[in-house]
Amino acid sequence: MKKFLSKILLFLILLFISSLALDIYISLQTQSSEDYKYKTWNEILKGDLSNDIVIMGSSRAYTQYSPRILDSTLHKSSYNLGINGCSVDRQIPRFSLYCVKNQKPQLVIQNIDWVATLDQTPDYEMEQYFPFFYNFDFRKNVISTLFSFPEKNIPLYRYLKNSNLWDSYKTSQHVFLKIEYKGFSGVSQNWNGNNFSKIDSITFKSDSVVIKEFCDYLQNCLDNDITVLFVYSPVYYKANERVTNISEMYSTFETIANKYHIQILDYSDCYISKDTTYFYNATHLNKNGAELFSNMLAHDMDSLQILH
Amino acid sequence: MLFNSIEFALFLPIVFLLYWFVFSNSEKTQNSILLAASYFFYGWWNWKCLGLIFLVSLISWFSAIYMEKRLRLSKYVFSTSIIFLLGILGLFKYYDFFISSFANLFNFKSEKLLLNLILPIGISFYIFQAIGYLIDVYKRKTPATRDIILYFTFLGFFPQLIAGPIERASNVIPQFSKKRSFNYTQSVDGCRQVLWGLFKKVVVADNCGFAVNQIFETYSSQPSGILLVGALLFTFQIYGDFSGYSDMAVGCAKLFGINLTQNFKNPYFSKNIADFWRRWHISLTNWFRDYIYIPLGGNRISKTKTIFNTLVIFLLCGIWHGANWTFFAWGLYNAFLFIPHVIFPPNQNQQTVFHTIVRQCFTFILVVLGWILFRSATINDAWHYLINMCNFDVWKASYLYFMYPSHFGNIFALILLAIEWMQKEKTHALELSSVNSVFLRWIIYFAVIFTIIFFKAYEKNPFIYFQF
Repeated sequence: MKKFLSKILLFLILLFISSLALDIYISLQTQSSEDYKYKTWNEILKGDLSNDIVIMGSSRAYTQYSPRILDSTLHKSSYNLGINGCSVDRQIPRFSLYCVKNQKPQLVIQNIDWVATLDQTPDYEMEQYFPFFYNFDFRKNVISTLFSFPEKNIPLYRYLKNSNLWDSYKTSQHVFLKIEYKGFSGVSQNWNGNNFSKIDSITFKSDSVVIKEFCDYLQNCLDNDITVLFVYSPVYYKANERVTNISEMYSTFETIANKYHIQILDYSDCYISKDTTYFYNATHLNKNGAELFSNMLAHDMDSLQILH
Repeated sequence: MLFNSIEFALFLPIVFLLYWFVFSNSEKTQNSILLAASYFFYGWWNWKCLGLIFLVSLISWFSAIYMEKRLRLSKYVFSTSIIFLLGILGLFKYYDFFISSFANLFNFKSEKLLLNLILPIGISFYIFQAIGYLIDVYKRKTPATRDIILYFTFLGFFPQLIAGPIERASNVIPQFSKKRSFNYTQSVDGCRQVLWGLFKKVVVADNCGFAVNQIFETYSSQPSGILLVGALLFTFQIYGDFSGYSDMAVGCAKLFGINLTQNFKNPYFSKNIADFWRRWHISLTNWFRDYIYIPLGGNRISKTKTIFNTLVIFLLCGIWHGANWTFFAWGLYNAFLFIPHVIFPPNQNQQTVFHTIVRQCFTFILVVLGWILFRSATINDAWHYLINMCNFDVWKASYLYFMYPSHFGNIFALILLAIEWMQKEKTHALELSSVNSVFLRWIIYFAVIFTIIFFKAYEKNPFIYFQF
């Protein structure tokens, strides 16, 4: 029995070491990817970002707010922290890590809409976190609540949960979308309303846990002298018409804004939102639309002297 | 709790350590921990079904003792207990199916008559094992065990509880009756067999299953080449799935010092259908042979009766697999392939290698065609699948791109076949007794583990035979 257990133990140790080595190798390889999923995390972790403004939100942030335009109009430095497909529950850890590793911003532009506080984000694009598990700050600020114990502590396990290592690695090496400039990625596509035409109605929902996290994050900003600005970016107007309880959305965010003394800018009904040539789908502006909107926002911020 | 789950990866070492370090004093303590672990394992899936296996164990244990004590009444006790066990199986597995079938046939509404009971996992396996035990006791081939813990462990032993092998009392009860001592060679071999089973399940079967599900669901719009690929992949899926499970079951049992029956012996290298059935799901085939075919007269009666008995056996074997007419038809199909061997017993003369290979290929094709019946949702689907597969007009190279989702399945099915061919004389493919170098053996283990890590299928499919 002693011989058996010692051999099993030795085997497991060797297996652990070889898995760990493979895990580190794959993580390092993936980290160097130019894909949008990893690039922003990499830049945040490098720790040399110094921006006056950061933009927070989901894909509706990273495809719609161009830091290049904001920088040139406002003569400030901005960075887009938008994270694809995520409600605020997964946007906030990215912001926390940004603040830990980099200089704190003066202003946060928080994109708000009917999906921002929808629910806790399901397991969507979790692979973006995989290569950074060996970074202490990343583990502490980002993945602590997102992953289970085996995922966090058994080498390679996280890669195998919904896939296999071969496909995980192949996928990580493929660049689906490149980050154009400081977290922003404009999408050069024309309007495609196929998915939109299938939707009859949309309901705004807010999850109490997510709302609480959102409020804690806003309080944290307040405590650290970080100004927050809420922005309703353009949505194709027919999509907004299909939101059955849109007044509830406005009142929810208004209540929060009042509580934390936050200014709201609303572009959901601007002329951009009436024209499909500025969109690639009902909720996302294409590159032209994004530049137009960013320009409009920058000028409004300038005239309202939000950062002065 | 699936064998290929993180829960089982924790469960097995805990039970192993408790078994050999805490409860190793006597066979009674060893059996007790195995029984507790087995019921925990079974209850993990659905604790409500524990009552049923407990009832089946209690009734069969008590009946066996009673039959032995009261010889005059043994016939009645035996009949009653067999009817009871078959009644349970019929109620849970076949009642709704037959009611629906009658309702369709005689055109009446069956909704109110249906019970919609959940099918307790592994019910066909443990009930057949209990029936086999009762028959053996009734025929005085094995003594009735008085030790209730021992008997319950025999019927509920977790490695083989939910998908076999269907064990005989004469093989397992003597092993449970004495204290097991740790055997290094046996345990190492058990680990290897578990590893090989895991490879067959998560790499071969699940990768094939990924493509098979897509192809069989959309068969009516698929070209014949893809349908052929689908049938071939299902052939490897079901083999990898079931023999993989059996390897893991036998391997796990070895870790507790118990040797279970070998359930598969390279069935796809069979030279004819009779040979196939001696190599596929051996424990079930032997069960039908010993408890139904031989009592019906075996091959010592007239040819006509033997043919009839063969037909009955295969129909029962088919319907054992599930409450669906496709399984019935699959049984019938196998019976028709088997009956020529009853009428014209195979020539035992030495044959050339070429002749053997031709026969193996021909048998393989017949088996593949049978699996189409087995996998299809209805007989109608199976028939149209076959018709579409034979529509050679649509053989086009461009359709090969459809094979992409299944590429791992294709590759590993071939690797499996090659490895099992090389190791065909061994009980399992990772039996590396001929490899003297420890270093080389460990390299092979690591290669298998990393193949699993690299190429395991996305979707964790439940074992196909769990539904039976």
